[in-house]
Amino acid sequence: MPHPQADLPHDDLARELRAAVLGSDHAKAARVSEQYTVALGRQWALMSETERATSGIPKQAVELLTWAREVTIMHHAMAAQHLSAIEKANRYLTARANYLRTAAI
Amino acid sequence: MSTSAVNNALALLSPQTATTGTSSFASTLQASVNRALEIASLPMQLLQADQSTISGKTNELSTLGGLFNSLQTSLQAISGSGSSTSQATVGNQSVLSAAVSGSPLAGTYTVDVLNPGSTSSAMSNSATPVTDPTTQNISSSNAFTLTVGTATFHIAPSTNSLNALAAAINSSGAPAQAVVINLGTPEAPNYQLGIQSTALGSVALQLNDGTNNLLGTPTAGADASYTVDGQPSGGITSDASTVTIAPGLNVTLQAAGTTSVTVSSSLSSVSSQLSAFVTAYNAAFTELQKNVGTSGGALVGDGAVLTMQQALQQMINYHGSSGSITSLAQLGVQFTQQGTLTFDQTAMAGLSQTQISDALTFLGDTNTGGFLQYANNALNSVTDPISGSLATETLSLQNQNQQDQTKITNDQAQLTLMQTNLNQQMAQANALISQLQNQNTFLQGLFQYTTSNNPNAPSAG
Repeated sequence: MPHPQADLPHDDLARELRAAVLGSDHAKAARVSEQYTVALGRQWALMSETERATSGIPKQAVELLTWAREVTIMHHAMAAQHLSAIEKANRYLTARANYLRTAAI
Repeated sequence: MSTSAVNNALALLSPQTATTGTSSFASTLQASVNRALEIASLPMQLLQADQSTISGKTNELSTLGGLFNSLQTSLQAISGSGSSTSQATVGNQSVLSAAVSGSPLAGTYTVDVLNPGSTSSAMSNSATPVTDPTTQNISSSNAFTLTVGTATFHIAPSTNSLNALAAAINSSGAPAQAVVINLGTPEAPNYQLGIQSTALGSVALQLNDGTNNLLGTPTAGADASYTVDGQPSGGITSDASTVTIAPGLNVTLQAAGTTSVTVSSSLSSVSSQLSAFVTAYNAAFTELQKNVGTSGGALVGDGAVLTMQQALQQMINYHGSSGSITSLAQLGVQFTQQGTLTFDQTAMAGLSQTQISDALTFLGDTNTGGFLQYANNALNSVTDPISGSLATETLSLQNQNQQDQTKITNDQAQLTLMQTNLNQQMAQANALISQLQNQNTFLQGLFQYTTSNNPNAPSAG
């Protein structure tokens, strides 16, 4: 299977980036966003002034990266919340384990 | 190209990256995460409930264990009271008093006290009167020799005073009692030392300070003498007031005269022990009822409760196979409608000597037979430290405790793994957030020159 490098259409990379972000696959999202940015830069360089003037690429690109960043921030916050819950559960379990060890049964 | 041209061109294009915003997505994702956390915490909630159950059961088992042990102790007390089931009745209590120890044969003894006996005594004859016994003494010596009968005792008072001398004699182990007596008047006191033998009869008494004998001529006592049922004709001589006239029957001679001593069986001590048994039974029964049916006790539905109930029923339903007394009911122990016991002490008071004897046979002993052994064995099924239901149930709880500990260990390992993964995810998310910010800045810079005339260009800021 060919590796999706810069020669892929940037639209495909955009979809791939959205999927990675939604799946909380941050490592993949970082890789794809890098590819997306490079591909976009290359395509932009190949475009004429007229094409650039009427292109929707700038708006789409900024919207995509902004969205990806906001969702990732949200995922980070939720992971922190999840981590807090787990740490609380771990403390609870430690307390229960201590109780059981000392329980006078 | 003009700005309007660009705007028109862009209007014809459908958006390549359709974002619906973060709010609705965020709420959905948050709900999903919350649900996952709730599901993840379910096992811990169950574990917590399980632990509460174990604690409650353990406490209740401990309470019941204490009550059943008390019940068994009360049984053993009845068993132990068997040796004091006889009583002695004295016809003329001014002649003598009687005490039972052991199990004397029932019957009537006639005791004729010919002479209750008396002790020997002697008084010091100090020429120099002691007016203050706390500072003065009848001799300046600090070492004395006391002779009682043929035995001698070394006396060393702590201080040179009459009081200290008397105290030293009394603590010397000599079979004699020393006292300080004022033979003078309150205005002109004259304290002297009096010594009295412990044994009856003529006993030699003397106190020597190394140079002089300090006591005057002793007054000789006399041995006690008595006959039992007229025998022996000359009487029995004793140097003690308390004598054994039959196995387990002691009398203390007090005055000359004749009296009868009647030994008979008695259930008075058994009666008080049975009362304590009923109290202990009711305490155990009442506590057990808290764990039956819909009462909500910690041990409701637990097999150990049934075993304990059966043990209680078993021992109360015991029936003897011989004699006139074959059930506890005949001794005044009755069931109430609630299943507890009552005890009517008057039921025993009306028993004849034969019935008392049969009652003692019915009760038996925790080791040899009868109700007490039967009941003790029934309680052993609960209290035995190895095979008893209390021990078995406690062991089961211990195993459950161990299993919970193992589960906690496993859960903690899983939580640690989750923590590691989450920390890794957060680090990657941090890196991605930073990277996306940089890329956004880069692209905005790249597209910037079209900002002024491209409606599809990102807005500033």
